[in-house]
Amino acid sequence: MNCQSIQTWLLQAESLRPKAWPAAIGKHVDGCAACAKLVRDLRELEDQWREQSLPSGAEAKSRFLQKQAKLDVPTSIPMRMRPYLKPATPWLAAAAMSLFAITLFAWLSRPGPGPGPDIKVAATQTPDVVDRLLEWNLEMTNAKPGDRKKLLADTEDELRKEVKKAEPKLTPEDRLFAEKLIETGVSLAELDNPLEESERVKNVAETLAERVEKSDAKESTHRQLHFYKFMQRCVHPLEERISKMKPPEVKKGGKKVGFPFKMNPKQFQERQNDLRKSLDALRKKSWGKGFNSPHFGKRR
Amino acid sequence: MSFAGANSAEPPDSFGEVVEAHWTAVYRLLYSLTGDPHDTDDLTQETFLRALKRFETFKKGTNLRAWLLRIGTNAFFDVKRKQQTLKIGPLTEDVKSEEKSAETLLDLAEQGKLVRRAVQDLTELTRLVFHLRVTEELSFKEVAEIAGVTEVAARQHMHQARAKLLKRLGESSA
Repeated sequence: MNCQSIQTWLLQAESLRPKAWPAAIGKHVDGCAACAKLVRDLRELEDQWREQSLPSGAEAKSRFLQKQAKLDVPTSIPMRMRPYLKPATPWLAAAAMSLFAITLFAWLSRPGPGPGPDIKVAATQTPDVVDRLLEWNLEMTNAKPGDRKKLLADTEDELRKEVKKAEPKLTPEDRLFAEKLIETGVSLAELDNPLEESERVKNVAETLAERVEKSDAKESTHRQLHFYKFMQRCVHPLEERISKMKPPEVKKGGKKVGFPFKMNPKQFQERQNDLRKSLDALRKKSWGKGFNSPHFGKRR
Repeated sequence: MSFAGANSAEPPDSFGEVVEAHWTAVYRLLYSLTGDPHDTDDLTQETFLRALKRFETFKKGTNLRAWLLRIGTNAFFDVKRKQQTLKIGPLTEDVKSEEKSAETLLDLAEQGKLVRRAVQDLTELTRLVFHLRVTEELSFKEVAEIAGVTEVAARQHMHQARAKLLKRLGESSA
């Protein structure tokens, strides 16, 4: 194989990762400066395209969701009437309707307080504590730093009680995760530095991603939705906040201006870049997965 | 579907969840095709409306994002074909970034501008293939399905995109 054929192959290769190439290509690229440079240039080009600053259309999305809510369109996956549900004959349908009407009449005219007990049962069902804690973390992240302490004071005790109550039913993995979520929520109330917040949030997002990886078919959809929701409502807004933070300006005499945190410009930049990379990796992970539930698609 | 309280592996029955999860991907694809934020807004909304209407035709077990990107691609080409008011122009360069700060990524932003200009010179189909492969990391098979071409053609478009972009960027930096 000569350089020309290798380069033609590389230009239409699906992946620029050597692991995905035939061994002969990898060996050639390793020993050939020109082909190695082509690979480097291609990687750089594609990174630049991926990293470019593009709007995400958040406003248009909000408008669309509002419109959709106003239209009140049926947004559930439609269930078509199945053949076995169709009445075999018209008289059978009429009989069923009559039976239903009689039963309904009898039920409505029975003595007693009415349908109270059933409603109570539904209302007192134990909520999924992990869902609640995750939702709580989202609320904490999206609340203004000044409002978080109040939110924490209003909710922490109740949530801890719920965790304690649900503990016997939780798996060890869920129990650890619940503890982590409480810890993160509490720490968010103390922080008003987006970089620190992001570290905490990133940890939760990574745990959520791990939970997706580990999940079996039954848990998969639910866990993926957790991950998506967290990425959309927590990680992405934080990513935006971080990217908008300006590095501290240092004036003569070493005084920092317009920046409340104890970092020099270099430390700040390094921290910001590290975080951005990790959050970006998480974002790509969520893109890569798509809705991979049994209903929405399969793992690629 | 309510997240809180749901503890089974039920599918999300809310289309809002689908919008939340895939809006940005569709938006970015359309932005890379139109280069205009207003047209992109309209086309993305059109894409999700079409998806909502046809949601029952979505095949379970296939890739939802790829399905949406295909609808978006079709919406773009439909509008273009009808020569409606869509303005195909260079990607706007002064669009405020929603993710990166120009101050901290000055070099990257400069490079980004060059790449955007160069990508804009590619044909729409080549640009589409390049974007889907690079940004969405879809396989050539999936890219081909979305673009409505064969897998071999998708590879050739990628070859063209990479070769032209490298050449163009090489000239710019010389």
